[in-house]
Amino acid sequence: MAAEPAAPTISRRGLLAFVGAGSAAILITGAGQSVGGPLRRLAVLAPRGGDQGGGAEFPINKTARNAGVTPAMTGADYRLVLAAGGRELQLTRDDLLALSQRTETLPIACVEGWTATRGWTGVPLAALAAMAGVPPGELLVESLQPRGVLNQATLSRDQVADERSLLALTVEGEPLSLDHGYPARIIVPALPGVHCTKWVAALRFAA
Amino acid sequence: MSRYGASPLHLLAHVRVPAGIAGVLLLVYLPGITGKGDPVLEGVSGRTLDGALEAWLLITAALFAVSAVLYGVRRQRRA
Repeated sequence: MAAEPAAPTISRRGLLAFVGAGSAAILITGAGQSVGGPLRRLAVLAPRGGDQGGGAEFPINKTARNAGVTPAMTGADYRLVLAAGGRELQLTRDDLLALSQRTETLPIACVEGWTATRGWTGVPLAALAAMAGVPPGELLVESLQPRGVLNQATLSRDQVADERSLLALTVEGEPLSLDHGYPARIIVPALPGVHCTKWVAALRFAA
Repeated sequence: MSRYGASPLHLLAHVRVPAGIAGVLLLVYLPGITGKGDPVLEGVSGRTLDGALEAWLLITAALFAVSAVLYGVRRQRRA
């Protein structure tokens, strides 16, 4: 320790305030990345979400382009495969829209750290199981996404049986955008966003 | 009153604090501010960080401006 220290250029209180202000700056610029609503606009240095077309302003985890999903795959030739016990049904998106729809307000809680709660409309997974001719059971969801670890996910019997679990076709009354999983995506309560499979190609129920 | 007298009023502190906060923000958001992270971010989220550099410059300017005003007020009070 110096015997005769130079006069301080900042007080102890000032130094603490300096550290606090630095932390506050990170908190303020980061809050909008995790929390939705008006706070989203505070994330000026690393914005997520916002109007990216398609009527859905919540953040995108992975774009269709990155996933290798093209508009041709989701166009008029799209068929959802509904399979159980060796039997297979094929449904167009219009067929799905003609089924009894249910709307649920559920969050997408993404492992990237953001959450967005929206109103989703689609067909309950339990109803699709019934259509396939089986009671709700374990379900393998396959995506149109040709590669990557998230091109399929397995849901448990309880998740399929929950009346809030949907094969969603629209969000907030708008058709899903391609980047949000058009033609259809999974939305299940309390399921990490990465397992809410986008671009669903097939639902394979355990018989 | 501390043994060093009244809390020091130093121009240096009023440069150091805004520079420090702006530096922390630059360090944390460097990939966005330089635009080097854009290709990866666009693939993941569909959007780029256009405007992050401008936002950081504006924040930095505002921090220095607030600090300068505070310095002026503190000097007035001591004069």
